[in-house]
Amino acid sequence: MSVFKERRIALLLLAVFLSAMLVWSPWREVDSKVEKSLGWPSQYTRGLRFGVDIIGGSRIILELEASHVTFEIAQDNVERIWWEEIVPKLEDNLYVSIRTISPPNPDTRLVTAEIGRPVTENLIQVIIGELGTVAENGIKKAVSTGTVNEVTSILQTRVDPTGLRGALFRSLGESLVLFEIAGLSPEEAETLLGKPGRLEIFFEGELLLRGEDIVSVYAPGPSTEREQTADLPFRLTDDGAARFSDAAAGKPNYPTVIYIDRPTDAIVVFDNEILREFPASFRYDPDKKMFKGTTAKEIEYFLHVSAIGTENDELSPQAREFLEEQAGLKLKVLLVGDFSLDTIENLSALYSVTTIPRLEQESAVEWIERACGVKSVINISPELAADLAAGKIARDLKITITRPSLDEAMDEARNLRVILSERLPVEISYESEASIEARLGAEFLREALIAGIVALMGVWVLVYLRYRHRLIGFAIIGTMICELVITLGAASVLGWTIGLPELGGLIIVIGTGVDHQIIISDEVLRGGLPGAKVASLRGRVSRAFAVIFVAVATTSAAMISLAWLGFGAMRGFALITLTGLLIAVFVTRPAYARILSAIVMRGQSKATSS
Amino acid sequence: MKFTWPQQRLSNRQLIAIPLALMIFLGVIAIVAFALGAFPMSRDFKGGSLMRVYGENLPASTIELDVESLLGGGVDVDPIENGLDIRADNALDDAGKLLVKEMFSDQFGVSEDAITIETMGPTITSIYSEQARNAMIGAFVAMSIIIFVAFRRRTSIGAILLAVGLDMLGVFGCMALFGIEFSLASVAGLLMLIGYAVDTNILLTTRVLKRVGGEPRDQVVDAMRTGLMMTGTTLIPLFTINLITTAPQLYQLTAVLIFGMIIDILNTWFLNAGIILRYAERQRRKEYYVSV
Repeated sequence: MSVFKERRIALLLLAVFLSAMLVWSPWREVDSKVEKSLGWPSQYTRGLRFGVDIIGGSRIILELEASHVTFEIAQDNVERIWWEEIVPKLEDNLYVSIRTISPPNPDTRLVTAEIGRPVTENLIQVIIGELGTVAENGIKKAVSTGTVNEVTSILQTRVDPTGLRGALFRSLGESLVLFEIAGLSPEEAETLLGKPGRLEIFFEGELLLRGEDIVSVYAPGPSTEREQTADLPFRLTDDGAARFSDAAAGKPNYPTVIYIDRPTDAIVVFDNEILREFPASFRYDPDKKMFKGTTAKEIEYFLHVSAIGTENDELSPQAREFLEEQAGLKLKVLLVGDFSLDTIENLSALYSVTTIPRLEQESAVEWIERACGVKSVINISPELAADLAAGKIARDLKITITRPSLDEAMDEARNLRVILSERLPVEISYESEASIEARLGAEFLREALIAGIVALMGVWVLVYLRYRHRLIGFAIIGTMICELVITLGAASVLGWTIGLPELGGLIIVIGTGVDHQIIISDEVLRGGLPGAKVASLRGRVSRAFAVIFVAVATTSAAMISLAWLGFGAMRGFALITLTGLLIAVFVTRPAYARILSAIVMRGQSKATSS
Repeated sequence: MKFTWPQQRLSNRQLIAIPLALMIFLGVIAIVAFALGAFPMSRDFKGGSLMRVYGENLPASTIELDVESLLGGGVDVDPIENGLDIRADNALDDAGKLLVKEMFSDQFGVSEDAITIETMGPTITSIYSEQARNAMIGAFVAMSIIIFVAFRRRTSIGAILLAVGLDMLGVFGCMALFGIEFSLASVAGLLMLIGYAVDTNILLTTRVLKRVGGEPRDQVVDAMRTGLMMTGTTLIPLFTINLITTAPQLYQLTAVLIFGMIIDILNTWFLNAGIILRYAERQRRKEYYVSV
C-alpha cells in the first residue's frame, strides 16, 4: 500500500474538516435574518450566505435605460466641436452624463455617445442645432458594460454601504441588473433604491454646494503633473460654479468638507475616553460642541454635527444639561463608544438612540467622521485659488488625491466618484418585482432534511440489493456527505449566495457523485466477462476513471456554457455544480476508489483465510 | 426459466425502432403544443404578473371576472393556502398595481398589505429567451467537441448526439403532456440532462467499443446493468425532492430530470445500443474477413 494512496484519504478528511469549520464559522455572529427564518440550524451555518429565496425578501430586476447615439458632425475639427460644444450642451439640457463610446473620427466625422436616458432624434436635434446631425438609425437602446458596473457600485453604496444588509446586485446581461435584499418588501426595497445620498460640501463653515450643483463626475485618471496622484474631474452648474468661484477665490489650501447624509437632526454622544486616541490635528471644541480638524497648513475646519462627550457609565452634568436643552430641537442620539445600559435608558427617554459600532481597525477619528457623515476633506489647490482670484469662473474642476501609491489614490478617487455621483448616470425602471416570504425558509429546510434522509436510505437499499454488501452502501453514502460538505465549504470561501438554484446544483453534484461511484464499484467488483482479460484491482479502478473523466468533462462543458452564455440568474447553479464536480473528481472519488479497494481486499483475504 | 434482457432477444432494428417511435410521438405532441400556443411557459419567458391575495373565503370566480375587466387580458385564478394566486398576462406598472389594490380593498375588503404583486416585463423575457437559447446551443456544441475528442468515431458521436437530442425532444413532449412549465429552472434541468444522458451513453460506448473481449451483446447488457443502477440511484433523490418540495423551481427542475432520465433509458439502452451493436457487429465481420 503506497503512501500516496493513503494520502488521498488524509486529503479528503482534511478537506471535510476545513469545510465543516468554514460552514460553521463559530467565530462569526449569527445573522439575525437567517436565524428568524431558519431557526436553530442557523447556529451551524454562520459561514454561509443565504439567498432571499430561502430567508425571504425581495427580488427586483432593474432595467438601465440608456441610448447610444451616433452623430454626424458637419463642421471641420470634429474633435473640438464634440468636446467643447456638443457635450456641454447635451449635459446641460438633458441633465445626464455623456460617455463617449467611439471617439470622433475625422474621416467619417462620426462619433458615438452613450446618453443616460431614452432620447428621440428630435430632442437631440433641437439641442445640438447646427453643430451636427444624428446619423441615420443613429439611436439605439443600449448600455455599455462600464455603465452597468458603475450603476451597480453606486446602488450598492447607496443601499448597503457597510454590506450589513446583505444586498446583492448582479448583472443579468445587456441592460438588466438583478437586485436582491433580505427582509424587505419590494416597496421598501424600491424606496431604498430610489433614495440618493444627500451630498453637502462645506467651505469655511458654510454650506457651499449641494448634490444638485454637480452636473456630472467623470472617470478618474492618474495625474499627469504629480506622481502617486489621481485626478477626479467633475463639472458644476453655472450657478454652483459662480458660488464656488466667489467663495474659494484667493484661498489656497483651504479645506472643503464633503458630507453624505449629514445627521442634521442628531447629536453625537461620545465616550470621553476616545479623546485620548486623537492625533494632534483633531480635537473636540467644547464651546461650539463640535469636532474640529486642522490641515497640514494649519487651517481649521469644523465637522458640522453637534457632539457632546461623557463618561461611559454615567451622563456628565454638562452632557445632561446640553441634551435636555436640545430635546425637541434634535431627535436622535448617535452613540460613539461603549455605554452602560443605564445611560442608554436615560437617553432613550428624550431621544431615539442609535449605536454606531466601531469597525475593525478603525481609528477614533475615522469613527467620529463616519458618525458625522464626513466622506472626505479636500484642500483647494493654490493654482485654482489663484485662477479664481484672477476672476476666472471654473465649471470644470478636479479633485486631486495623493496617497502613498497610485493604486490607493485611484481607489480613493473611485470611491469619491461614487459618492459625488448622487444621480445615477442612467435612468432606471423596474422590470420585475417579486417578494419571497420568509416562511419558506424553515419549511424548506425541513423538506430538504426529509428529502436528504429518504434519498440516502433509498440509495443505500438499492446499492445493497445490487452488491449484497453493507459496507459499500455506507462508503457511498459517506462519500456523498463529504462531497456535500466540501462543496458548501467552497461556497463559503468564495462568498457565494446559497439560494434555490444553488441547492439544485448541490443535488446534481451528489447525484452525479453517486453515478460515478457506481461506475467505480461495478468496474471493481464485476467478475469480468467471459473471455475478458482479468485486470488487476488498480487497472480496474483506472478503467472506471476513464469513463468518469469523459463524463465530468462533458457535464463541465455544459455548465461552463450555462455560466458563460446563460442568464445571470442561473449562473450560481452552474458555478456550484462545476465546483462540486471538480472537487468530486479530484478529491472524493479517488478516496472512494481507495476505500472500495480496501473493502474488496479485506473480503478477499477473509475468503482465502477461511 | 432463464431471464434474458431485451438486448439479447431483439434485433438491432427493433431496438432502434421502439424508442424512435416513442420520441416521434412525444416530439409531435411538443410541436403541436408549441404551434397551438398551448406549451406551458412560465413567467420567466412569457412575462406577466402574479398577484397573491391573502384572505379567507374569497370568491374566486367573481374575482377572476373583476380582474379581467380591470386589466383587459387573460386572467387565471388558483386557490392557495388561505388565499388566491391570480395570474395575468400583462406586466403591471405602478399605476396598474395601485388600481388592483384599490379594487380589492373597495370590493372585497382586502387590505393592501395582504396583496403582493410580482411582475416580469417584456425586456427580461426576451433577454432570458435569448440567453436560454444560447446556453442550450452552447452546451450542445461544447458537449459535441468533448465527445469528438474522446471517441473520434463518426458512428458513436452521431449516436450519442442523436440519443441526447431525442432525450430533449422527449422531455419537451412530456412537459407539454404533464403541464410542466418551461422556466429558468427547467432550462437548468434540461442542461443537466445533457450531462446525465451523456454519462450513460459514454458508459455504453466505452464498454462496447474500447474494451477487448466478450460478445458485444453481453457487453451492452453488462454496461446496462451499471447504467440502470446509476439511473436508479439518481432517480431516488430526484423523486423524493419532487414529491416533498413546495418550491416550484425545484419541482420543475426535478420533474424535467425525472422524465429525461426515464426517456434516456430507452434512448441509450435501446436506440444507441442498437446503433452501436450494428456498428460493432459489422466491425467484427470485417475483422473476420481480413483474417481469413
